[in-house]
Amino acid sequence: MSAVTHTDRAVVRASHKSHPVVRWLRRNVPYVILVSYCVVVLVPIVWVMLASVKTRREVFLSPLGLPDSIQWQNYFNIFESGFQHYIWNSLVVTIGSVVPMVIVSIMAAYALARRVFIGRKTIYLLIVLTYAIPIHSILIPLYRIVDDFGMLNTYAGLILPHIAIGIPFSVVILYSFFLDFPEELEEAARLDGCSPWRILFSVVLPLSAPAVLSVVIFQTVSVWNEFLWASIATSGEERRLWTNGIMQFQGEYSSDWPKILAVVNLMMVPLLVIYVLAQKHFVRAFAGMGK
Amino acid sequence: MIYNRKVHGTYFDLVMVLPALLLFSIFIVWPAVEAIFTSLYASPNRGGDFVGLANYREMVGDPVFWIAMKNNLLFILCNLVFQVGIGTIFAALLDRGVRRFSTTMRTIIFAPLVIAPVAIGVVWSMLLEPNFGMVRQLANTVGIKLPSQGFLGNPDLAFYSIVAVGAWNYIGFMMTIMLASMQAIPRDLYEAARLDGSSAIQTFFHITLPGVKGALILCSLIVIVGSFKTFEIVYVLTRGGPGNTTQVLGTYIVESAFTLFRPNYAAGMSVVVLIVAIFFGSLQVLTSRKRK
Repeated sequence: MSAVTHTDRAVVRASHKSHPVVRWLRRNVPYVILVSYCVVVLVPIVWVMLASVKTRREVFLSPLGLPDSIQWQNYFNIFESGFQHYIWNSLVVTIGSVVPMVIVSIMAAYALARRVFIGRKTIYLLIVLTYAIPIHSILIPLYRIVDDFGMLNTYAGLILPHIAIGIPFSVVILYSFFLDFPEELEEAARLDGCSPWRILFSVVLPLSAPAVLSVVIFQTVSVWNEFLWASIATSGEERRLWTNGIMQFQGEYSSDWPKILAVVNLMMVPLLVIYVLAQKHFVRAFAGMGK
Repeated sequence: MIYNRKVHGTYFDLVMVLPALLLFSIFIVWPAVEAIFTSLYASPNRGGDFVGLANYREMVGDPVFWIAMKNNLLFILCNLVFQVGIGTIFAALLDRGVRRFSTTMRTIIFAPLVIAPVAIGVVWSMLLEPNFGMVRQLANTVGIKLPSQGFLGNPDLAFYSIVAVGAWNYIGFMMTIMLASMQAIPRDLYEAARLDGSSAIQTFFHITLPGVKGALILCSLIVIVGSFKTFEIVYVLTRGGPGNTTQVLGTYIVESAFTLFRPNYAAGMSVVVLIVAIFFGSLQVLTSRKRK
Protein backbone atom coordinates (compact mmCIF):
# COMPACT_ATOMS: atom_id res chain seq x y z
CA MET A 1 0.00 0.00 0.00
CA SER A 2 2.53 2.53 1.11
CA ALA A 3 4.90 1.37 -1.62
CA VAL A 4 2.30 2.36 -4.15
CA THR A 5 1.94 5.79 -2.61
CA HIS A 6 5.71 6.27 -2.73
CA THR A 7 5.87 5.40 -6.39
CA ASP A 8 2.88 7.57 -7.16
CA ARG A 9 4.42 10.56 -5.47
CA ALA A 10 7.75 10.00 -7.16
CA VAL A 11 5.99 9.90 -10.50
CA VAL A 12 4.02 13.05 -9.73
CA ARG A 13 7.22 14.76 -8.66
CA ALA A 14 9.13 13.66 -11.71
CA SER A 15 6.41 14.94 -14.02
CA HIS A 16 6.49 18.37 -12.33
CA LYS A 17 10.26 18.72 -12.60
CA SER A 18 11.33 21.99 -11.03
CA HIS A 19 12.37 24.90 -13.18
CA PRO A 20 16.05 24.83 -14.24
CA VAL A 21 16.70 28.09 -12.35
CA VAL A 22 15.31 26.58 -9.16
CA ARG A 23 17.46 23.53 -9.63
CA TRP A 24 20.53 25.65 -10.29
CA LEU A 25 19.83 27.64 -7.13
CA ARG A 26 19.29 24.51 -5.08
CA ARG A 27 22.63 23.15 -6.21
CA ASN A 28 24.65 26.33 -5.80
CA VAL A 29 23.20 28.37 -2.95
CA PRO A 30 24.80 26.09 -0.31
CA TYR A 31 28.20 26.70 -1.93
CA VAL A 32 27.62 30.45 -2.12
CA ILE A 33 26.71 30.62 1.59
CA LEU A 34 29.56 28.42 2.80
CA VAL A 35 32.22 29.92 0.54
CA SER A 36 31.20 33.48 1.53
CA TYR A 37 31.55 32.57 5.17
CA CYS A 38 34.93 30.94 4.53
CA VAL A 39 36.00 34.29 3.05
CA VAL A 40 34.82 36.04 6.22
CA VAL A 41 36.96 33.64 8.27
CA LEU A 42 39.99 33.85 6.02
CA VAL A 43 40.18 37.61 5.37
CA PRO A 44 41.28 38.59 8.91
CA ILE A 45 43.77 35.70 9.00
CA VAL A 46 45.26 36.60 5.60
CA TRP A 47 45.23 40.27 6.58
CA VAL A 48 47.37 39.45 9.64
CA MET A 49 49.80 37.39 7.56
CA LEU A 50 50.20 40.12 4.94
CA ALA A 51 50.31 43.01 7.40
CA SER A 52 53.04 41.32 9.42
CA VAL A 53 55.48 41.76 6.50
CA LYS A 54 54.35 45.24 5.37
CA THR A 55 55.39 48.74 6.24
CA ARG A 56 53.12 50.73 8.50
CA ARG A 57 52.04 52.86 5.53
CA GLU A 58 51.05 49.86 3.45
CA VAL A 59 48.95 48.35 6.25
CA PHE A 60 46.81 51.47 6.32
CA LEU A 61 46.77 52.32 2.62
CA SER A 62 46.19 48.91 1.05
CA PRO A 63 45.00 46.52 3.75
CA LEU A 64 44.68 43.51 1.45
CA GLY A 65 47.33 44.42 -1.14
CA LEU A 66 50.65 42.63 -1.40
CA PRO A 67 53.66 44.40 0.15
CA ASP A 68 56.12 46.12 -2.22
CA SER A 69 58.97 44.39 -0.49
CA ILE A 70 58.72 41.90 2.33
CA GLN A 71 59.55 43.54 5.66
CA TRP A 72 61.24 40.75 7.62
CA GLN A 73 62.45 43.60 9.78
CA ASN A 74 59.11 43.44 11.64
CA TYR A 75 60.02 39.98 12.89
CA PHE A 76 63.60 40.93 13.78
CA ASN A 77 62.17 43.83 15.77
CA ILE A 78 60.10 41.46 17.88
CA PHE A 79 63.17 39.55 18.90
CA GLU A 80 65.16 42.72 19.48
CA SER A 81 62.45 43.74 21.95
CA GLY A 82 62.99 40.41 23.71
CA PHE A 83 59.78 38.64 22.82
CA GLN A 84 61.56 35.26 22.74
CA HIS A 85 61.60 35.51 26.53
CA TYR A 86 57.78 35.35 26.64
CA ILE A 87 57.71 32.49 24.15
CA TRP A 88 60.16 30.52 26.26
CA ASN A 89 58.05 31.06 29.39
CA SER A 90 54.92 29.98 27.53
CA LEU A 91 56.62 26.82 26.33
CA VAL A 92 57.81 25.96 29.84
CA VAL A 93 54.38 26.62 31.34
CA THR A 94 52.46 24.78 28.61
CA ILE A 95 54.61 21.65 28.63
CA GLY A 96 55.04 21.83 32.40
CA SER A 97 51.26 21.96 32.81
CA VAL A 98 49.96 19.59 30.16
CA VAL A 99 52.30 16.63 30.75
CA PRO A 100 51.69 16.24 34.49
CA MET A 101 48.01 17.17 34.07
CA VAL A 102 47.46 14.36 31.60
CA ILE A 103 49.41 11.84 33.69
CA VAL A 104 47.56 12.51 36.95
CA SER A 105 44.23 12.66 35.06
CA ILE A 106 44.83 9.28 33.41
CA MET A 107 45.66 7.75 36.78
CA ALA A 108 42.66 9.25 38.55
CA ALA A 109 40.21 8.59 35.71
CA TYR A 110 41.30 4.95 35.46
CA ALA A 111 40.93 4.32 39.16
CA LEU A 112 37.57 6.11 39.27
CA ALA A 113 36.25 4.15 36.30
CA ARG A 114 37.61 0.73 37.13
CA ARG A 115 38.36 0.30 40.80
CA VAL A 116 36.16 0.07 43.84
CA PHE A 117 37.19 2.16 46.83
CA ILE A 118 35.62 4.39 49.45
CA GLY A 119 34.90 7.95 48.32
CA ARG A 120 35.02 7.09 44.63
CA LYS A 121 31.55 8.50 43.90
CA THR A 122 32.16 11.65 45.96
CA ILE A 123 35.42 12.42 44.18
CA TYR A 124 33.86 11.94 40.75
CA LEU A 125 30.90 14.12 41.74
CA LEU A 126 33.25 16.93 42.85
CA ILE A 127 35.07 16.67 39.55
CA VAL A 128 31.83 16.83 37.56
CA LEU A 129 30.65 19.84 39.56
CA THR A 130 33.79 21.81 38.73
CA TYR A 131 33.89 20.65 35.10
CA ALA A 132 33.14 24.07 33.64
CA ILE A 133 34.07 26.66 36.25
CA PRO A 134 35.95 29.62 34.78
CA ILE A 135 39.14 30.84 36.41
CA HIS A 136 37.58 34.20 37.30
CA SER A 137 35.06 32.49 39.58
CA ILE A 138 37.85 31.41 41.97
CA LEU A 139 40.39 34.06 41.04
CA ILE A 140 40.52 36.06 44.27
CA PRO A 141 41.09 33.19 46.75
CA LEU A 142 43.34 31.40 44.27
CA TYR A 143 45.52 34.49 44.05
CA ARG A 144 45.77 34.61 47.84
CA ILE A 145 46.56 30.91 48.18
CA VAL A 146 49.29 31.10 45.55
CA ASP A 147 50.61 34.23 47.26
CA ASP A 148 50.65 32.42 50.64
CA PHE A 149 52.70 29.63 49.10
CA GLY A 150 55.11 32.33 47.88
CA MET A 151 54.49 31.23 44.30
CA LEU A 152 53.55 34.52 42.63
CA ASN A 153 55.91 35.23 39.73
CA THR A 154 57.14 31.64 39.63
CA TYR A 155 56.63 28.84 37.12
CA ALA A 156 55.04 26.76 39.88
CA GLY A 157 52.48 29.48 40.53
CA LEU A 158 51.51 29.44 36.87
CA ILE A 159 51.70 25.70 36.36
CA LEU A 160 50.00 24.19 39.42
CA PRO A 161 46.68 26.08 39.05
CA HIS A 162 46.69 25.27 35.31
CA ILE A 163 47.09 21.58 36.08
CA ALA A 164 44.32 21.75 38.66
CA ILE A 165 41.84 23.61 36.48
CA GLY A 166 42.51 21.19 33.61
CA ILE A 167 41.90 18.09 35.75
CA PRO A 168 38.06 18.04 35.71
CA PHE A 169 37.75 18.21 31.91
CA SER A 170 40.53 15.66 31.36
CA VAL A 171 39.22 13.24 33.97
CA VAL A 172 35.65 13.40 32.63
CA ILE A 173 36.77 12.65 29.05
CA LEU A 174 39.16 9.85 30.08
CA TYR A 175 36.71 8.43 32.62
CA SER A 176 34.04 7.94 29.98
CA PHE A 177 36.62 6.37 27.67
CA PHE A 178 37.82 3.93 30.35
CA LEU A 179 34.23 3.00 31.26
CA ASP A 180 33.70 1.80 27.69
CA PHE A 181 37.05 0.01 27.57
CA PRO A 182 36.52 -3.76 27.04
CA GLU A 183 36.83 -5.25 30.48
CA GLU A 184 37.71 -8.69 29.08
CA LEU A 185 41.17 -7.47 28.06
CA GLU A 186 42.00 -6.37 31.58
CA GLU A 187 40.48 -9.53 32.99
CA ALA A 188 42.69 -11.67 30.77
CA ALA A 189 45.79 -9.76 31.84
CA ARG A 190 44.77 -10.09 35.46
CA LEU A 191 44.39 -13.86 35.12
CA ASP A 192 47.85 -13.94 33.58
CA GLY A 193 49.08 -12.46 36.83
CA CYS A 194 49.65 -8.86 35.76
CA SER A 195 49.77 -6.25 38.50
CA PRO A 196 47.29 -3.37 38.16
CA TRP A 197 50.21 -1.14 37.12
CA ARG A 198 51.16 -3.49 34.31
CA ILE A 199 47.53 -3.69 33.22
CA LEU A 200 47.28 0.10 33.03
CA PHE A 201 50.59 0.70 31.27
CA SER A 202 50.81 -2.36 28.99
CA VAL A 203 47.16 -3.14 28.23
CA VAL A 204 44.94 -0.08 28.71
CA LEU A 205 47.18 2.86 27.79
CA PRO A 206 48.44 1.58 24.43
CA LEU A 207 44.81 1.27 23.35
CA SER A 208 43.81 4.67 24.73
CA ALA A 209 45.85 6.82 22.35
CA PRO A 210 42.84 8.57 20.74
CA ALA A 211 41.36 9.69 24.08
CA VAL A 212 44.74 10.74 25.49
CA LEU A 213 45.60 12.63 22.31
CA SER A 214 42.26 14.46 22.45
CA VAL A 215 42.96 15.59 26.00
CA VAL A 216 46.54 16.61 25.16
CA ILE A 217 45.43 18.69 22.18
CA PHE A 218 42.56 20.39 23.99
CA GLN A 219 44.65 21.23 27.05
CA THR A 220 47.70 22.36 25.08
CA VAL A 221 45.59 24.84 23.12
CA SER A 222 43.85 26.03 26.32
CA VAL A 223 47.02 26.55 28.35
CA TRP A 224 49.02 28.07 25.47
CA ASN A 225 46.24 30.60 24.82
CA GLU A 226 45.41 31.36 28.47
CA PHE A 227 45.66 34.99 29.51
CA LEU A 228 43.83 35.89 32.73
CA TRP A 229 45.68 33.74 35.26
CA ALA A 230 48.99 34.52 33.59
CA SER A 231 48.40 38.24 34.04
CA ILE A 232 47.23 37.95 37.66
CA ALA A 233 49.90 35.52 38.88
CA THR A 234 52.83 37.50 37.46
CA SER A 235 53.75 41.13 37.91
CA GLY A 236 57.30 41.65 36.68
CA GLU A 237 58.57 40.81 33.23
CA GLU A 238 60.40 37.74 34.42
CA ARG A 239 57.62 35.14 34.24
CA ARG A 240 55.15 36.72 31.85
CA LEU A 241 53.77 34.66 28.98
CA TRP A 242 53.26 35.48 25.32
CA THR A 243 49.61 36.45 25.86
CA ASN A 244 50.80 39.07 28.37
CA GLY A 245 53.59 40.07 26.03
CA ILE A 246 51.21 40.79 23.19
CA MET A 247 49.06 43.02 25.40
CA GLN A 248 52.22 44.79 26.54
CA PHE A 249 53.26 45.33 22.91
CA GLN A 250 49.81 46.62 22.07
CA GLY A 251 50.16 49.19 24.81
CA GLU A 252 53.75 50.19 24.02
CA TYR A 253 53.72 50.19 20.23
CA SER A 254 50.03 50.91 19.75
CA SER A 255 50.52 52.55 16.36
CA ASP A 256 53.09 50.05 15.08
CA TRP A 257 50.56 47.55 13.77
CA PRO A 258 53.00 45.52 11.66
CA LYS A 259 55.12 44.80 14.71
CA ILE A 260 52.12 43.72 16.82
CA LEU A 261 50.70 41.69 13.94
CA ALA A 262 54.06 39.99 13.42
CA VAL A 263 53.73 38.76 17.00
CA VAL A 264 50.14 37.63 16.38
CA ASN A 265 51.22 35.83 13.24
CA LEU A 266 54.22 34.22 14.86
CA MET A 267 51.99 32.81 17.60
CA MET A 268 49.07 31.95 15.31
CA VAL A 269 50.71 30.23 12.34
CA PRO A 270 52.42 27.30 14.11
CA LEU A 271 49.15 26.37 15.83
CA LEU A 272 47.21 26.70 12.56
CA VAL A 273 49.75 24.52 10.73
CA ILE A 274 49.57 21.83 13.40
CA TYR A 275 45.78 22.09 13.28
CA VAL A 276 45.62 21.65 9.50
CA LEU A 277 47.99 18.67 9.62
CA ALA A 278 46.21 16.97 12.51
CA GLN A 279 42.74 18.38 11.98
CA LYS A 280 40.99 15.05 12.45
CA HIS A 281 42.39 14.88 15.97
CA PHE A 282 41.65 18.54 16.69
CA VAL A 283 38.04 18.17 15.65
CA ARG A 284 37.68 15.08 17.81
CA ALA A 285 39.38 16.83 20.74
CA PHE A 286 37.01 19.78 20.64
CA ALA A 287 33.87 17.95 19.60
CA GLY A 288 34.88 15.41 22.26
CA MET A 289 32.93 17.62 24.61
CA GLY A 290 29.98 16.35 22.67
CA LYS A 291 30.77 12.72 23.08
CA MET B 1 35.07 -9.46 39.74
CA ILE B 2 34.69 -7.07 42.65
CA TYR B 3 36.28 -9.76 44.79
CA ASN B 4 39.17 -9.90 42.38
CA ARG B 5 39.71 -6.16 42.58
CA LYS B 6 39.82 -6.19 46.33
CA VAL B 7 42.72 -8.62 46.24
CA HIS B 8 44.99 -5.86 44.95
CA GLY B 9 44.26 -3.72 47.96
CA THR B 10 43.76 0.02 48.19
CA TYR B 11 47.41 1.05 47.94
CA PHE B 12 47.16 1.12 44.15
CA ASP B 13 43.92 3.15 44.24
CA LEU B 14 45.38 5.67 46.66
CA VAL B 15 48.50 6.28 44.61
CA MET B 16 46.40 6.61 41.47
CA VAL B 17 43.90 9.13 42.78
CA LEU B 18 45.96 11.11 45.27
CA PRO B 19 48.04 13.37 42.98
CA ALA B 20 45.02 14.59 41.03
CA LEU B 21 42.92 14.85 44.15
CA LEU B 22 45.53 16.91 46.03
CA LEU B 23 46.13 19.40 43.22
CA PHE B 24 42.43 19.67 42.52
CA SER B 25 41.53 20.19 46.19
CA ILE B 26 44.20 22.81 46.90
CA PHE B 27 43.79 24.89 43.75
CA ILE B 28 40.11 24.41 42.85
CA VAL B 29 37.97 23.18 45.74
CA TRP B 30 39.66 25.24 48.43
CA PRO B 31 39.48 28.54 46.49
CA ALA B 32 35.89 27.78 45.46
CA VAL B 33 34.89 27.30 49.11
CA GLU B 34 36.94 30.28 50.19
CA ALA B 35 35.27 32.46 47.57
CA ILE B 36 32.05 32.00 49.51
CA PHE B 37 33.70 32.92 52.83
CA THR B 38 35.52 35.89 51.32
CA SER B 39 32.25 37.26 50.02
CA LEU B 40 30.84 37.32 53.57
CA TYR B 41 33.63 39.51 54.97
CA ALA B 42 34.38 43.21 54.61
CA SER B 43 38.14 43.43 54.41
CA PRO B 44 40.52 41.74 52.03
CA ASN B 45 42.66 40.34 54.83
CA ARG B 46 41.74 37.13 56.53
CA GLY B 47 40.09 37.85 59.83
CA GLY B 48 38.35 40.99 58.59
CA ASP B 49 34.88 41.90 59.82
CA PHE B 50 32.09 39.46 59.12
CA VAL B 51 29.43 41.37 57.21
CA GLY B 52 27.06 38.58 56.25
CA LEU B 53 25.25 39.26 53.05
CA ALA B 54 26.20 42.95 52.82
CA ASN B 55 28.29 42.40 49.69
CA TYR B 56 25.36 40.66 48.03
CA ARG B 57 23.00 43.42 49.09
CA GLU B 58 25.32 45.97 47.54
CA MET B 59 25.45 43.88 44.39
CA VAL B 60 21.68 43.97 44.03
CA GLY B 61 21.81 47.77 44.20
CA ASP B 62 24.81 48.12 41.87
CA PRO B 63 23.72 49.16 38.35
CA VAL B 64 27.01 47.94 36.82
CA PHE B 65 26.43 44.47 38.24
CA TRP B 66 23.06 44.39 36.53
CA ILE B 67 24.52 45.65 33.25
CA ALA B 68 27.06 42.82 33.44
CA MET B 69 24.35 40.29 34.31
CA LYS B 70 22.11 41.57 31.51
CA ASN B 71 25.01 41.37 29.04
CA ASN B 72 25.80 37.80 30.10
CA LEU B 73 22.17 36.81 29.54
CA LEU B 74 22.00 38.73 26.27
CA PHE B 75 25.17 36.92 25.20
CA ILE B 76 23.39 33.60 25.73
CA LEU B 77 20.51 34.72 23.53
CA CYS B 78 22.74 36.17 20.79
CA ASN B 79 25.10 33.20 20.84
CA LEU B 80 22.20 30.76 20.61
CA VAL B 81 21.02 32.58 17.50
CA PHE B 82 24.38 33.28 15.87
CA GLN B 83 26.67 30.47 17.01
CA VAL B 84 24.26 27.57 17.47
CA GLY B 85 21.75 28.71 14.82
CA ILE B 86 24.22 29.51 12.07
CA GLY B 87 26.45 26.62 13.14
CA THR B 88 23.51 24.23 12.69
CA ILE B 89 22.64 25.65 9.27
CA PHE B 90 26.26 25.40 8.12
CA ALA B 91 26.45 21.83 9.44
CA ALA B 92 23.30 20.89 7.52
CA LEU B 93 24.68 22.49 4.35
CA LEU B 94 27.97 20.61 4.74
CA ASP B 95 26.17 17.37 5.51
CA ARG B 96 23.56 17.42 2.74
CA GLY B 97 23.95 20.52 0.58
CA VAL B 98 27.45 20.23 -0.88
CA ARG B 99 29.44 17.35 -2.29
CA ARG B 100 32.79 18.93 -3.08
CA PHE B 101 35.24 20.79 -0.82
CA SER B 102 33.20 19.99 2.28
CA THR B 103 36.30 18.97 4.28
CA THR B 104 38.21 22.07 3.17
CA MET B 105 35.36 24.37 4.12
CA ARG B 106 34.91 22.65 7.46
CA THR B 107 38.64 23.02 8.15
CA ILE B 108 38.51 26.74 7.40
CA ILE B 109 35.37 27.50 9.41
CA PHE B 110 36.71 25.64 12.46
CA ALA B 111 40.17 27.29 12.33
CA PRO B 112 39.55 30.40 14.52
CA LEU B 113 38.99 28.09 17.47
CA VAL B 114 42.72 27.37 17.78
CA ILE B 115 43.70 31.07 17.75
CA ALA B 116 44.15 32.64 21.19
CA PRO B 117 41.18 34.82 22.22
CA VAL B 118 43.66 37.56 23.15
CA ALA B 119 45.12 37.51 19.63
CA ILE B 120 41.64 37.50 18.11
CA GLY B 121 40.80 40.52 20.24
CA VAL B 122 43.95 42.37 19.19
CA VAL B 123 43.32 41.66 15.51
CA TRP B 124 39.65 42.67 15.56
CA SER B 125 40.34 45.82 17.55
CA MET B 126 42.58 46.84 14.64
CA LEU B 127 40.09 45.77 11.96
CA LEU B 128 37.36 47.74 13.75
CA GLU B 129 39.59 50.74 14.51
CA PRO B 130 37.46 53.84 13.74
CA ASN B 131 39.86 55.75 11.43
CA PHE B 132 42.10 53.32 9.57
CA GLY B 133 40.52 49.93 10.31
CA MET B 134 39.83 47.70 7.35
CA VAL B 135 36.11 47.51 8.15
CA ARG B 136 35.92 51.31 7.86
CA GLN B 137 37.81 51.21 4.56
CA LEU B 138 35.58 48.47 3.17
CA ALA B 139 32.47 50.38 4.25
CA ASN B 140 33.78 53.54 2.55
CA THR B 141 34.42 51.64 -0.68
CA VAL B 142 30.88 50.26 -0.71
CA GLY B 143 29.55 53.67 0.32
CA ILE B 144 28.18 52.80 3.77
CA LYS B 145 28.57 55.57 6.34
CA LEU B 146 29.76 54.30 9.72
CA PRO B 147 29.36 56.28 12.96
CA SER B 148 32.48 58.37 13.65
CA GLN B 149 33.47 56.59 16.90
CA GLY B 150 33.53 53.32 14.99
CA PHE B 151 32.02 50.16 16.41
CA LEU B 152 33.82 49.63 19.70
CA GLY B 153 33.52 53.24 20.86
CA ASN B 154 29.80 53.39 20.21
CA PRO B 155 27.65 52.37 23.21
CA ASP B 156 24.94 50.94 20.93
CA LEU B 157 27.24 48.97 18.67
CA ALA B 158 30.08 47.84 20.97
CA PHE B 159 28.16 44.93 22.48
CA TYR B 160 27.05 43.60 19.11
CA SER B 161 30.57 43.94 17.75
CA ILE B 162 31.71 41.65 20.54
CA VAL B 163 28.89 39.24 19.69
CA ALA B 164 30.05 39.25 16.06
CA VAL B 165 33.69 38.60 16.97
CA GLY B 166 32.57 35.82 19.31
CA ALA B 167 30.54 34.28 16.48
CA TRP B 168 33.57 34.48 14.18
CA ASN B 169 35.50 32.64 16.89
CA TYR B 170 32.98 29.92 17.77
CA ILE B 171 30.60 29.18 14.85
CA GLY B 172 32.99 26.47 13.67
CA PHE B 173 32.92 24.83 17.11
CA MET B 174 29.12 24.59 17.20
CA MET B 175 29.07 23.55 13.54
CA THR B 176 31.46 20.68 14.26
CA ILE B 177 29.40 19.31 17.13
CA MET B 178 26.20 19.57 15.08
CA LEU B 179 27.83 18.00 12.02
CA ALA B 180 29.09 15.01 14.02
CA SER B 181 25.56 14.47 15.27
CA MET B 182 23.98 14.88 11.81
CA GLN B 183 26.35 12.35 10.28
CA ALA B 184 24.96 9.78 12.70
CA ILE B 185 21.44 10.10 11.26
CA PRO B 186 20.70 6.98 9.16
CA ARG B 187 20.79 7.81 5.45
CA ASP B 188 17.71 5.71 4.62
CA LEU B 189 15.57 8.20 6.56
CA TYR B 190 16.60 10.83 4.01
CA GLU B 191 15.99 8.39 1.18
CA ALA B 192 12.47 7.72 2.48
CA ALA B 193 11.81 11.45 2.76
CA ARG B 194 13.00 11.98 -0.79
CA LEU B 195 10.68 9.27 -2.07
CA ASP B 196 7.85 10.90 -0.15
CA GLY B 197 8.61 14.01 -2.14
CA SER B 198 9.49 16.25 0.81
CA SER B 199 11.54 19.35 0.03
CA ALA B 200 15.03 20.02 1.42
CA ILE B 201 13.59 22.49 3.95
CA GLN B 202 10.89 20.02 5.08
CA THR B 203 13.51 17.27 5.38
CA PHE B 204 15.64 19.57 7.56
CA PHE B 205 12.77 20.27 9.94
CA HIS B 206 11.31 16.77 10.05
CA ILE B 207 14.37 14.55 9.96
CA THR B 208 17.57 16.49 10.63
CA LEU B 209 16.42 18.66 13.55
CA PRO B 210 14.71 15.87 15.57
CA GLY B 211 17.79 13.72 14.95
CA VAL B 212 20.17 16.26 16.48
CA LYS B 213 18.09 17.26 19.50
CA GLY B 214 20.70 15.95 21.93
CA ALA B 215 23.52 17.88 20.23
CA LEU B 216 21.39 21.04 20.24
CA ILE B 217 20.88 20.73 23.99
CA LEU B 218 24.61 20.18 24.45
CA CYS B 219 25.47 23.24 22.32
CA SER B 220 23.01 25.34 24.31
CA LEU B 221 24.62 24.26 27.58
CA ILE B 222 28.07 25.07 26.18
CA VAL B 223 26.80 28.50 25.14
CA ILE B 224 25.29 29.19 28.57
CA VAL B 225 28.48 28.21 30.41
CA GLY B 226 30.60 29.93 27.75
CA SER B 227 28.73 33.20 28.19
CA PHE B 228 29.58 33.29 31.89
CA LYS B 229 33.17 32.29 31.04
CA THR B 230 33.57 35.26 28.68
CA PHE B 231 36.51 37.42 29.63
CA GLU B 232 39.35 37.84 27.14
CA ILE B 233 37.41 39.07 24.11
CA VAL B 234 35.59 41.76 26.11
CA TYR B 235 38.73 42.71 28.01
CA VAL B 236 40.81 43.18 24.88
CA LEU B 237 38.15 44.78 22.68
CA THR B 238 36.49 47.24 25.07
CA ARG B 239 37.68 46.69 28.67
CA GLY B 240 33.94 46.70 29.48
CA GLY B 241 33.43 50.18 28.00
CA PRO B 242 32.38 52.57 26.66
CA GLY B 243 30.94 53.61 30.01
CA ASN B 244 30.48 50.03 31.30
CA THR B 245 28.04 49.21 28.48
CA THR B 246 29.84 46.00 27.52
CA GLN B 247 30.79 44.92 31.04
CA VAL B 248 30.28 41.21 31.71
CA LEU B 249 30.64 39.46 35.07
CA GLY B 250 34.10 38.17 34.11
CA THR B 251 35.51 41.63 33.39
CA TYR B 252 33.65 43.29 36.27
CA ILE B 253 34.99 40.74 38.77
CA VAL B 254 38.57 41.34 37.63
CA GLU B 255 38.10 45.11 37.58
CA SER B 256 36.52 45.17 41.06
CA ALA B 257 39.21 42.98 42.56
CA PHE B 258 42.36 44.26 40.90
CA THR B 259 41.61 47.82 39.75
CA LEU B 260 39.10 49.01 42.34
CA PHE B 261 40.75 46.85 45.06
CA ARG B 262 37.48 45.44 46.38
CA PRO B 263 38.25 41.70 46.40
CA ASN B 264 35.47 40.81 48.83
CA TYR B 265 32.84 42.47 46.73
CA ALA B 266 34.29 40.79 43.63
CA ALA B 267 34.22 37.44 45.46
CA GLY B 268 30.46 37.84 45.88
CA MET B 269 30.03 38.18 42.13
CA SER B 270 32.38 35.27 41.51
CA VAL B 271 30.12 33.12 43.69
CA VAL B 272 27.24 33.94 41.31
CA VAL B 273 29.37 32.83 38.34
CA LEU B 274 30.46 29.75 40.29
CA ILE B 275 26.86 28.68 40.92
CA VAL B 276 25.86 29.12 37.27
CA ALA B 277 28.96 27.26 36.04
CA ILE B 278 28.52 24.41 38.53
CA PHE B 279 24.86 23.94 37.64
CA PHE B 280 25.10 24.10 33.86
CA GLY B 281 28.55 22.51 33.68
CA SER B 282 27.46 19.37 35.53
CA LEU B 283 24.27 19.30 33.48
CA GLN B 284 26.51 19.24 30.43
CA VAL B 285 28.47 16.22 31.70
CA LEU B 286 25.31 14.39 32.73
CA THR B 287 23.48 14.92 29.43
CA SER B 288 26.46 13.86 27.36
CA ARG B 289 26.92 10.70 29.43
CA LYS B 290 23.27 9.88 29.08
CA ARG B 291 23.45 10.30 25.33
CA LYS B 292 26.16 7.68 25.06
